[in-house]
Amino acid sequence: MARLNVNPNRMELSRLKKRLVVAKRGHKLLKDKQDALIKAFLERAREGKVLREELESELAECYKSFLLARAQTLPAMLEQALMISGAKCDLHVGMQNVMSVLVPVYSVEQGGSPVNYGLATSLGSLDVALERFAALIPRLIALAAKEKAINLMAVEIEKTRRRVNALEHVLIPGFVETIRYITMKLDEQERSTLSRLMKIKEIVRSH
Amino acid sequence: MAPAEQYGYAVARLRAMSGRLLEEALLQRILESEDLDSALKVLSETVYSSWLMELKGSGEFDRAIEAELLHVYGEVQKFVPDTALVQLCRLPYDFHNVKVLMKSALLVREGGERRFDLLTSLGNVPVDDLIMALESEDFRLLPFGLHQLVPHCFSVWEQSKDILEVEKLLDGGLFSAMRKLGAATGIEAASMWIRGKIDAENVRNLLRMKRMDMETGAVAGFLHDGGLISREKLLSLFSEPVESWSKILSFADVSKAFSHVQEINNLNSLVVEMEKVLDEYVADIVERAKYLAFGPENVISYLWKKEMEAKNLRIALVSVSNDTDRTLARGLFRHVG
Repeated sequence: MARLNVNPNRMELSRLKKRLVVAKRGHKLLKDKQDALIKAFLERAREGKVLREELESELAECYKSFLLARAQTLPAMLEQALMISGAKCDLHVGMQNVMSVLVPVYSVEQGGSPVNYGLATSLGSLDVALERFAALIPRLIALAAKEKAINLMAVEIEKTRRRVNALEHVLIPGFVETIRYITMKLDEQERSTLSRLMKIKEIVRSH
Repeated sequence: MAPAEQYGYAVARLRAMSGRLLEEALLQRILESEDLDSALKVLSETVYSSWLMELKGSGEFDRAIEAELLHVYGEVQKFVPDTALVQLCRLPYDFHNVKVLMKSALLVREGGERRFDLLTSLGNVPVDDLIMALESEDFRLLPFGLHQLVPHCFSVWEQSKDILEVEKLLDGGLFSAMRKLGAATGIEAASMWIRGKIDAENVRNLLRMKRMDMETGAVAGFLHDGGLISREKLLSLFSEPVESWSKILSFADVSKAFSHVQEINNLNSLVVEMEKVLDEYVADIVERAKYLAFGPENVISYLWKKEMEAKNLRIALVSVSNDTDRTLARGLFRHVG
């Protein structure tokens, strides 16, 4: 493991020991955060998957109704009916803190009627399709929020995992190695001083 | 009305043209095609072949259907003694064009863009004339009561900003123009067909509003006068459950339509099913024309069948191009006879 490029002295040793304690504490905290994030992520991912599957089948039904309308009329007439919409959709975005990840929370307010066209030049199947689409919008937006949260949490998990790995496999072993090196160096210096002193003492005694 | 003898040639031509209407077996073949290209290949064996050659891509099949319909309207108009009968069938397209231009004008005022691409040449009034009239706000020369209706619609929009009100006025104007045109021909069968068509439209609208759970007060605006069933009778129908409608309307021919529907409890599917059944009811009104050698109703009968053919073809091609459930599409086919 790569040793840090530091002067082997007692001051550096004590500084490194302090840093090692902080790194170990940080590693534990980040590891806990990562575990909690993964747990929350998996929960949301499971919910998101169920919701997406439900919505995809409902969307297929909506498109089927829309196709019925499309098949039975001139495409221009269908588009003409939808030129001016009567429905209004207000979207509010809030933020929620999940394990220090800011995930969006959308709320939607629907107003007006999606059926805003004359009945003589349009079809009943279009009413059915539009109502189905309108009913699906809040759930589609909820799915969007859920998937965005999953996305942000995945990025955060990846970031945390990198930090944990960096601490676990680079920083902490680096500190340990450097501390061991400085300790050895200091012990070596101490032994050298001791032997020098003994030698001097012996010379002095012989005279 | 032109003398009945003059219809001899027209009816003979129409009988010959009826022979070229797409048969059910051919529609089934189209529907069973693997993809759109093979469906169009089957279609190219029919009168549609010349229009198919002009298409840039297979996805433009709607243009071929529209072109054939336009060609038929043009042909029939040339030899029919009373051209008003053809005008009658083309009238909904005029009102569609007016709606497109009005909505475009309203969108432009709010920073939107014009949608001239949605105009169709199937109407009686040339598209350029309509554009000119609406762009220059010179409505004087517009036919079918549009010269009064269009400025009225603009003023209603200015006051209410409610496009539904404008649409209701235009829909009302369409049926009023049809009634006037029918009465002007002096052909009893044409008037009866229009009355039957208004009944079918009213029943269809009532059903749609019932499904939407609309307030009773708002219903009257969507009903049209001039049908065989009075507006009051229809309004009283609205508060009754749909199951009892056929019984209450048993005095009118349109009640027969209810006997053809299967799922009367599910309003969503009932609305879709009734569209088909009521189209067939409108065709049945002039069905006796096939026994008349000089009957002007043959014109309406043929043109309505051509419209239904276009609808059937569109259903089949849309189903093939989107690879949807073929049984569903088969159930939507109108009986052309």
